[in-house]
Amino acid sequence: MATYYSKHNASGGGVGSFADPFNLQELFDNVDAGDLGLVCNTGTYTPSATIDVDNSSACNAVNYAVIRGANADGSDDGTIATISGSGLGAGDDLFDFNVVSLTIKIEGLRITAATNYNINLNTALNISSIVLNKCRIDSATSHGIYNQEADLSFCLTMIDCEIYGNGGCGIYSVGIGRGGIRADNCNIHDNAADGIQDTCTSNKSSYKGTIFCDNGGHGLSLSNDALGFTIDHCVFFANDGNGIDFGDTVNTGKLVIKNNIFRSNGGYGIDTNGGSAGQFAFCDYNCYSNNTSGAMDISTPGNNNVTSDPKFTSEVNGSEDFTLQSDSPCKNAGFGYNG
Amino acid sequence: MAITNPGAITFCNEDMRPLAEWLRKLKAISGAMNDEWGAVHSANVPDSSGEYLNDGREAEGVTQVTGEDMHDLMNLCTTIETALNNTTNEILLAKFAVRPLRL
Repeated sequence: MATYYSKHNASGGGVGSFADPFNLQELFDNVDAGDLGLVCNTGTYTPSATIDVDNSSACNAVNYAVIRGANADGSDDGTIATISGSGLGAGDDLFDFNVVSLTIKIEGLRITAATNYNINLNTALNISSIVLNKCRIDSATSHGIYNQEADLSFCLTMIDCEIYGNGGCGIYSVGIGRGGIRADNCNIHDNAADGIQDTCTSNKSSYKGTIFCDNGGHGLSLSNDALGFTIDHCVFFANDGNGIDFGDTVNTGKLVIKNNIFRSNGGYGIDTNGGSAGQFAFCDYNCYSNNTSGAMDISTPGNNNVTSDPKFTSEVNGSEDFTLQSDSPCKNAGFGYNG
Repeated sequence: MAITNPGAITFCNEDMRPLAEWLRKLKAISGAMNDEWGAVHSANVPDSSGEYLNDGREAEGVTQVTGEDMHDLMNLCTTIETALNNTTNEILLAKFAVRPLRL
């Protein structure tokens, strides 16, 4: 395993050592399976062209490349490095992923201010897995992440990521991959359109412990012929549209929705758009409170829901704190928590 | 007598309640804009169709606006605020609105 370095002011032609580092494009071109690429936080990276992620050696059958933010002195200490689109031309993505069979893990980067998409996952990503860990994806002119991948085996995994302030959706996914999207402990807020619009056909997405807050459209918009979703321990708060908006062709009996809080959304907590309770394999132990149109557009499934104020610590715009106060009716009321 | 017509109930919850919240927000925004316009900007913008706002945005296909356009829009803003800013309408909007006002 080799470790390579990039610095924001590297002009190109380096060997990837700390003393003679790569620029950002070179780092993504040269970090192969098993290698670690450290993006040193020497300053804000402002590439003048889109970073193409198309290194076909970045993964093999047993390993994959890791790209991670690092301290300015090269220490691998969890420092976040910032990559800004401020140097791009009009309508440019910051990152385009363009290779078959890519598995890559990206950690500790802030990817901000692209003049189009911050991350564009193109249709060449067959049989690929992209993992984003502790990344911030914000302030793109359009979507934060645009997923066009249509292969059955593509999967986008996000852990501890914040996706906010983008001019379109936080994530706009139009592929038909079965891998779908997995979001754990993410915060998706203040995007101009939907937090996540997942129009993939036949996927199996999973959203756990994730906050969908203050988005200009729905918190989470799911449509097409989905094979199944699991939505667990999420908060849907103050989105202008519905907390979750389902298309009318979501397959029957494939949806698991439990232990979530839907509060103060501008439509329903959940809008099935004329669906039925039969669409849910399990939908119970949720909290529905203060949604403009009501809890759901159909009779709300489940006998263990909470309908009173969940008593978040703070609902103040811009400084929300979704931890629960000690007297919250949602404490110990979820499925598997004495519920 | 209770109104139980399902279509009316859906229309109220899916359309009228969100509309009331939007109007309440519009009232707040138009009031704040009118205050700022009167205190800061109005004196700097001649009410003239011959004076163009030089923001350079015509190059991206955005329509160029004049000082007269800006005054006309703020007059419309005042009309909206006036229409919404009376006790009767405030009470009416509050009846339909569910969520607290969030700006």
